[in-house]
Amino acid sequence: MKQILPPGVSAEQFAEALQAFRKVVGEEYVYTGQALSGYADPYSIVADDEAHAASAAVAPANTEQVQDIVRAAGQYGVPLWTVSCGKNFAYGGAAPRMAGTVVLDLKRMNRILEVNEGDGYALVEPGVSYFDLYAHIQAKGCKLWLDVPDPGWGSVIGNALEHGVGYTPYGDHFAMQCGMEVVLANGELVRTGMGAMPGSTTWQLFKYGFGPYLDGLFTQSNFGIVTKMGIWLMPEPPGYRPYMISFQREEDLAQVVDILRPLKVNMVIQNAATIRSLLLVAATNATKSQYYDKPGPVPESILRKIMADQDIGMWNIYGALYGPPPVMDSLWSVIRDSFARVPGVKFYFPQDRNHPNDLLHARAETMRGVPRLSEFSFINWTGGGGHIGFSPVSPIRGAEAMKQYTMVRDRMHEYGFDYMSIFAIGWRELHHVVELLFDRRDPAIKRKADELFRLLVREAAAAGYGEYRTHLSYMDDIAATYGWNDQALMKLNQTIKDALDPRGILAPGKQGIWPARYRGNRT
Amino acid sequence: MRRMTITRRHLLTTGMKVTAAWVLAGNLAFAAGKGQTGLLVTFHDPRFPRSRRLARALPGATRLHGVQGDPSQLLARIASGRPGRQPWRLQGVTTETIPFCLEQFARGYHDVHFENRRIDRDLFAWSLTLSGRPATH
Repeated sequence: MKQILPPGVSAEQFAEALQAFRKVVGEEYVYTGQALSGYADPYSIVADDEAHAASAAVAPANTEQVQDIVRAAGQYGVPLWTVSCGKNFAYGGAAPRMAGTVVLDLKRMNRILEVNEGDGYALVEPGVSYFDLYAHIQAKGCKLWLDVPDPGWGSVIGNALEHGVGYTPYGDHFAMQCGMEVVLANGELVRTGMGAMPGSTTWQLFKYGFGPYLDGLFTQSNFGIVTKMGIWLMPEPPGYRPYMISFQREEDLAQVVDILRPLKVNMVIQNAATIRSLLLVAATNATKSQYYDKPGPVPESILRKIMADQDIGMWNIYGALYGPPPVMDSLWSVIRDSFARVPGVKFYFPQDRNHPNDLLHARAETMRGVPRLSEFSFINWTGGGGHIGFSPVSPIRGAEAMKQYTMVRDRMHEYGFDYMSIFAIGWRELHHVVELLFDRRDPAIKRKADELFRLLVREAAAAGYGEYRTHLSYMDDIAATYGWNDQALMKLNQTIKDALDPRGILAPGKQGIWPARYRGNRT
Repeated sequence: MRRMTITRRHLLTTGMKVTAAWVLAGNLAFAAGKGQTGLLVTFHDPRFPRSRRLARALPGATRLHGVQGDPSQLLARIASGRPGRQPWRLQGVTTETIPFCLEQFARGYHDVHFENRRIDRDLFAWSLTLSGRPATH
């Protein structure tokens, strides 16, 4: 296996750095050669296999070891790319942005330090997955619900730091974090919020502490390494009722979104409800070849057949009610009456959906915080397993949703891809998460997908839509679209980066933020 | 070990008319015993009749288990450390996300040996052996 080195680091320096890492964590927790296969991006879209290849990986067991590794990395000029569980697939997995970076794998730091049932929070380390925390809460018999993203094997900390979302009323994961412990690039350890006070009794209860609120600096960034974080947990509600609402026509999207906005803003819709496109729902239950075996996107006639076969709509809302039964009854009557004016609307509860693999049954678990992997099934639609997410954000307005939908759908069809998406409803915004599926063994399809993705980014930006998250390969492209006032935000990010990490050790290129030592090659 | 590469052209020309004979001709040979013993579990995808037929032809396959959506229950058993020091082999003919999820997850807990071959557009024949030793990475 070819040895890849970090840029600007000699083989001798690198060998010395690895030796220093081994002294910190032990021989068995520094990985090189074939042992790095788990740190490759399984859905890599770029032709160059080495574009995101790690040079080594190191797995510390505790915060002190993280500090020692960071200090050694600084001494030898070796860059580190931090991953927690490394399951952020479709955005790069455990692979680093820059080839030759050493992966700092925090999987061994998997302690659940506290679950406080009365105050409703947990304090965890980065290697704790949603599966882990859910199992712990169940074993302890705590009356608390977790909020989980679609794949449940990711890190609780990692998902919040990447601005991930779930589907209970606690669905905005960064909004629900409270208090961090962070290792800085010089090895120093800080605690944010109330955690800065020795003996504080409210580290996981009050976010803001005293002075500037810094936690956001450590999300989607390369300014520090989060080694502990508090996350608020929802008290188990006295009642729970998941539902699905389907709509038959493409153009219904505009009316549906306009109905949704006041329901969400006024908290009639309590959770992070989603509108899922026909094929995304269908693909969790069927493959494309079962309906259509020609190249190119599925035609309208087949879409209608799928709708009839699976009793699903062109658009499908998955939501849930939480609370005492009389409260749920009242909320449901408002929701039902609001959508009843859409022609052809259908309402379902789980008992109305007879197929055992119907998506509502899986959503019913996810929307009450049970981690699963059900939704990976959609990747089987075309076969070949690759996918990346294109995720522009828009206002919760029907016209905007239709505009985004048509511009993305038309481009995807032009390039021969099926349109699949989720519109996730936030407090004031729609996340339009488009799944671009490709055969990861087919270089020609990957090239087309890459070309399409870059075009979508440019066109979305021109229309005023920015992405909230992206794959490693597009971080620079997306960052460049946030360029108001001559890239003022990036200049500020670079100023912070240079101040906190003058040696450029932490995650070079993360979210388009390059340290000074690598910046010259890229501007 | 010979690796079979299925190109897009190959897929278009052969469609999904891959026969059990093709599979039995040796393309699933990787799943044959490598001297391992221990628990063996074989999966098929009940949506595809050919999946059952091909899975039944895998070495050592006796009782088949249907799986098509969420392998989370299996993950819990992997995480719990089962089967201890005994090798544990999972194999099957299913869509790709099942072995993908199992392999990605198992690597965090066990030393694994994984083989995966594409049969047609939808189905993959695969074998995942958990050696019984802890993960080495």
